[in-house]
Amino acid sequence: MKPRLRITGADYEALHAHLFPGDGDEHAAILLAGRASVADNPTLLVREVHLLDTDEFPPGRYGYRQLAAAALARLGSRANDEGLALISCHSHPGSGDRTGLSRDDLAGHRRVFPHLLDIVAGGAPVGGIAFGEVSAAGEIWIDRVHRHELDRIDVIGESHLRLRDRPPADASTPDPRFDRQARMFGAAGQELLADMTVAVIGLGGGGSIVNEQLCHLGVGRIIGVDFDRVEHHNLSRIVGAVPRDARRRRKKVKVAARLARRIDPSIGFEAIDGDIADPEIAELVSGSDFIFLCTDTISSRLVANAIAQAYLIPMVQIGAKVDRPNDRISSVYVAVRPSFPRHGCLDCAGMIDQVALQKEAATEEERVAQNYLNLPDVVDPSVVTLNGVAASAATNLMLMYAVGMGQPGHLAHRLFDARSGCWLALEPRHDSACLWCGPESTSRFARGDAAHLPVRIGGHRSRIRLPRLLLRPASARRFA
Amino acid sequence: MTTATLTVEVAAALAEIEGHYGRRVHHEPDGQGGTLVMIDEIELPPTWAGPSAPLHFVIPFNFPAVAPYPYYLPQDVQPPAPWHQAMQPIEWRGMPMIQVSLRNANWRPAQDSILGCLMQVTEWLRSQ
Repeated sequence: MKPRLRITGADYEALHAHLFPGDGDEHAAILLAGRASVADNPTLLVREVHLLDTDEFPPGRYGYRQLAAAALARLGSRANDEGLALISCHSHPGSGDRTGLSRDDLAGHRRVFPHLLDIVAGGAPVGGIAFGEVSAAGEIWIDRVHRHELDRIDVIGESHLRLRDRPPADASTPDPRFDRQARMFGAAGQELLADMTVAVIGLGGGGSIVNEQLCHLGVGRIIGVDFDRVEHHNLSRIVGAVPRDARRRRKKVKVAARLARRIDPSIGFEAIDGDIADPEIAELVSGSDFIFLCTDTISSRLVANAIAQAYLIPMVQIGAKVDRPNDRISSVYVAVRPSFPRHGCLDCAGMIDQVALQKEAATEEERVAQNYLNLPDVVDPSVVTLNGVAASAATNLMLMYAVGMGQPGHLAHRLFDARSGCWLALEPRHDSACLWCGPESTSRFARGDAAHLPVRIGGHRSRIRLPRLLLRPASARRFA
Repeated sequence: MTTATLTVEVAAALAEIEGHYGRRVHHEPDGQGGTLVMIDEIELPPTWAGPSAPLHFVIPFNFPAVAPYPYYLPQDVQPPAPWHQAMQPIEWRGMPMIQVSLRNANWRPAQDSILGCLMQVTEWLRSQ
């Protein structure tokens, strides 16, 4: 078992500034974190950062400094109320890219953690981490018996940062086919890509191009999710699809898997024939390192955004839109919207529309009834070049993030006006009352497995037979 | 993440409704984690064909991200003509109903409660 910890870039920045103010002294903080289980490795998801002042981290009886009992009791009680894990942190000034728990640190854990486990209760683990300037080492106590060394910390910011107790071994020379790209981001960057699991939700026009680019980049594992089949009108856009696929109505995930194998037979492509709103698929996606959302339904947008915020997984949503009121083209644009933890949440940006969600959830009969103007269903235009712009911009964003080359501003939501060739950057909005990324107790942010994702139980909608109304009230009988 | 037939959130919303309306609440799981709810004997204005009627709606599986919409009354309660534009006759899941298209435009899922939604609907019905 290799416990991991994820923290947002903003939280890590605040934590780091507090732990290393430049005075050469040790400082402390306490993290409260949700929990996720990814391939049997517990992952702690930092939801709250509590910076302790020097009164709460006084000179210690046993070691140099120790956490004050009052601070542990206060925050242990909060962890218990919120069902969160508690992780104590302190700095080791002067230790740069290597650090470790000292003998005093470990002795302190043995004295305090059994009591902390009683306070936080509910099966929540406790842990302790020592931070160097660019390193971290720690241990997580699942219970009094099971203690595990912290494997790594992933900082999810504009650029991905991975902290361990020592620098990684020198990366091996990449495969010759990656030679040109590795000259940009190095052999270490190539190894980071090979280590990634990336989910691509929707393998139509946009998703198929994302999938193709991920295979060429050398991403190690791809989870492709789609329940749809190839039809003739898809052949102008789905990369890798041929007329025979449309004739046979082959599943889009199978076409994507075939393309992946042709580009790189060693790639781990997991073809998932289903919907992200199914709980098993949402669970699978929540174990990924990055999510591409390439569908056109708002319900999939709702679930993917919820996963991104609840599990601290960076995500980017892409789409293309051709507005043509009265059959006249008014605008042609492409959207690239990153939804990183507490940065760019799609709900805060107004991109998860209640009306559209209610419409998608309705039966055909209800949809007809609710369409007051009796408008025929409109088939939106779709063009491969627009999909290509969106897919390339999104994959490039992932690449810059993954190899640590992302610059401030690169996570803005962007619109590309295809007719003028102009990009427009939109500052992400943040709603403090957001259900997904807000700070309120009801928010699902960093709740992990306890987040209650907005998924259906009982399988895919197409397999559900909605009941006829059986409830007959007494008053209805009166009117009969 | 879920209980056997209802999601945790839907079950909590149902309990909230039952806490207020008691035995007048009946429900039928929709197979997706949501449920069809009927609250019996919702008071109607004196100009309608009856003093009260059952109010039907769905708590969707993705509640509270998605609020209930629309609401339904049996057609035989016959509000006085002309009907408000938010009401129209339809057949819904095998029964002739009046669809009441009242949407809570400012639904804040982290803060608002399902009971608040229902209060707005029942008050609106009483005002017709």
